[in-house]
Amino acid sequence: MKKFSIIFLISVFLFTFVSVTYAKTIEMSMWGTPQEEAVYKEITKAFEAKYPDIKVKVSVLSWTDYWSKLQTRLASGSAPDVFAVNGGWLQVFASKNVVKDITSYVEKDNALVSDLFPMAIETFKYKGKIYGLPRDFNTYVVFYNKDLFDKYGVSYPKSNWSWDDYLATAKALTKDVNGDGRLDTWGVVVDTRPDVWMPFVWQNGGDVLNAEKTKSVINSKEAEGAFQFLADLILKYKVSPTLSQQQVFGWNPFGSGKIGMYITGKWMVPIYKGTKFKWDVQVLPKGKKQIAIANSVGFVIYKNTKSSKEAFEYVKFIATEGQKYLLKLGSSVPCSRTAVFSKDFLDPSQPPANKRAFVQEISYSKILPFHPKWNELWEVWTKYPELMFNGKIGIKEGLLKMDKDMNKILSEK
Amino acid sequence: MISIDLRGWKRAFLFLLPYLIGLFVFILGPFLASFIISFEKWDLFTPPSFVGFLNYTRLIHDPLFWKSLLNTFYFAFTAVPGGIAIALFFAILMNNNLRGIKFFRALYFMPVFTPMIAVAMVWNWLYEPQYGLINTLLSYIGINGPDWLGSEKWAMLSIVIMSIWKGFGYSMIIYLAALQDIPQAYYEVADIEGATPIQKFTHVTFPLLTPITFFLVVMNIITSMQVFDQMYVMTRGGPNDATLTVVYYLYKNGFVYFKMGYASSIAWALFFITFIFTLIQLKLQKKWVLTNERT
Repeated sequence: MKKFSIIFLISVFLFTFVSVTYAKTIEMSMWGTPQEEAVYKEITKAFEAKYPDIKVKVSVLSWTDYWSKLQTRLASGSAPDVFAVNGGWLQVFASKNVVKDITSYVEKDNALVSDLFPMAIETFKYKGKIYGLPRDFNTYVVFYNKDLFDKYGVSYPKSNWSWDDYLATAKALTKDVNGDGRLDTWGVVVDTRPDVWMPFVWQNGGDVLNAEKTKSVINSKEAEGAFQFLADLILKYKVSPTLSQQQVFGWNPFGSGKIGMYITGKWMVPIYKGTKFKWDVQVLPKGKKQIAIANSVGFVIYKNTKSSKEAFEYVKFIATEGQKYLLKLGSSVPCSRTAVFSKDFLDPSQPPANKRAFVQEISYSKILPFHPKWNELWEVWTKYPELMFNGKIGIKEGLLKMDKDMNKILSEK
Repeated sequence: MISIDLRGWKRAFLFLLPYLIGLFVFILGPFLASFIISFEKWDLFTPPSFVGFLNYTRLIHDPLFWKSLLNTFYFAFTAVPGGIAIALFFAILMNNNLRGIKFFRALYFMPVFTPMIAVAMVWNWLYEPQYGLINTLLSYIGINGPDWLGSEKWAMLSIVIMSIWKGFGYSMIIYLAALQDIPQAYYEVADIEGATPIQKFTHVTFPLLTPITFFLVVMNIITSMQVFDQMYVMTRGGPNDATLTVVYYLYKNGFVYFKMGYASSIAWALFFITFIFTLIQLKLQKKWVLTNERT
């Protein structure tokens, strides 16, 4: 009996040992909240059920921890097989040749190509080659405070509203309620986020970089018109708090209940769920053209991974079948057509009511012009709008300087 | 003939080994590495390439570097004298045996060990131009306070004020110890000679504190030249690079733009500049610092 149990134990040990070593284990790392960690663990479980001989180790870190750890691991040559990036970092990593070119994998897969939104894949292209797959495609919309609209008797924004409507609505929502000479509510928030001023530039017919992303084209009458409109909101019509006043609101101005309309993406939905006021969303107001902006985050595969096929299957799973798990978070717009038009996404019981606004914009959304030097470009894209929106320099001068600084960065070898 | 006890040396070396390993791995090693990197172009992901003095020549022609240097000088040469003067003032106040004085000594020291992040965030609120406490109090006496952190004119000064508030306690404690070392006999002689309190300060207290003052000035200037935390938390180097310090610029170049070589050259440039300042101060020491040979 004793002999039998010893043999039994040894064989159980050997069996698990063998099956664990023969199961390929890949490592995935990303930044995220505890809720996101739970959801990605669910996705991983479903993936492992579909592919029993692949195991995935998931590690979710805070934003700052994630990037510093990733940089160190990439520099030391042993990074996770799969890791999360946004559009900007993809350009940096692809240009430094630390992520795998998966163009051949993707192009072979017709089902995948037809299911994903083209603009979502575009984010993960560098010099025409694909280096990653998206996990969402967040279109930016206008969140509006319904209680504030009701209080001042303003009608809710319509889907075909214009810049003039935007301004008029903002004016109607900017009030000094208690007559103490200080504004208590504002119509909008104009800040330096490039992902928010860029759609205005595009809508007015301007752009930031040329198509090859080698030169700046921001110094144009069209861009000037857009920036003037935004600057006027703060300085002339005073329907937005000034940049320093915005500091009081911290990172969540809309949540304070004092802002009528705020432009951001669906990732704020879980946070806004906890507000004391009712809110909904609407597509961005239309300028000369109707263009919106979307931001896609996704996963890449480490260049030196030992399990590229397995890693690709995992990344593909997240972009397609995994999307339905992400819907539970309610914090993103899926990057796959099947998920977007599914009942789960358009579920009316989950806020916001007007979810179709996110979907409507997909067909006319552009992505930011990401570039390997985007960290430096991003600084230029926030530095001069700050001066312009503070009234420290004129729009013409601001754009001239932006143009000069951008070209300097782009031409540096 | 001096005979050396070799066994003793070996034992001493073994005892020193943990410290020496730490010294080499965490201080001297990185020192040497950063010196080498300053002559290379390295983006952290691809292998470094040797570029000679390119980084240093770029530095000399970089207007942003010179601006950051000027900003750092502004900070160092206002925060250090200001902080030391205030520290001395409070040290003299604290130098008595009133009941509860220990409470006040601890109170004024508290900002020193409060984390900079917490202090910076609270001062962000204090400095807020419309609703912050400082401008609200000023408005009660009819003064329209400026945009402390948001205007190029006031941003650095605002950070200086906050830094003085946070740091003076440290110098105060050191001055307090030094004050208590001054023999009462000197003051008794001064009383006999009919000295006023001001004269007691200028002829007894201050001269006898010059060695400590020298120490505090040198150390504080060295740390002030490396100031970073406050700018990072409160103004992000703005507005319009008004609070961009050398170390902040170095950080941006190394960890945001991935220009490790250039960042290293900035670090070494700062080292040499600080070194020169310290040498100058050591030379000037003879002019004003009292030592035992010179009283």
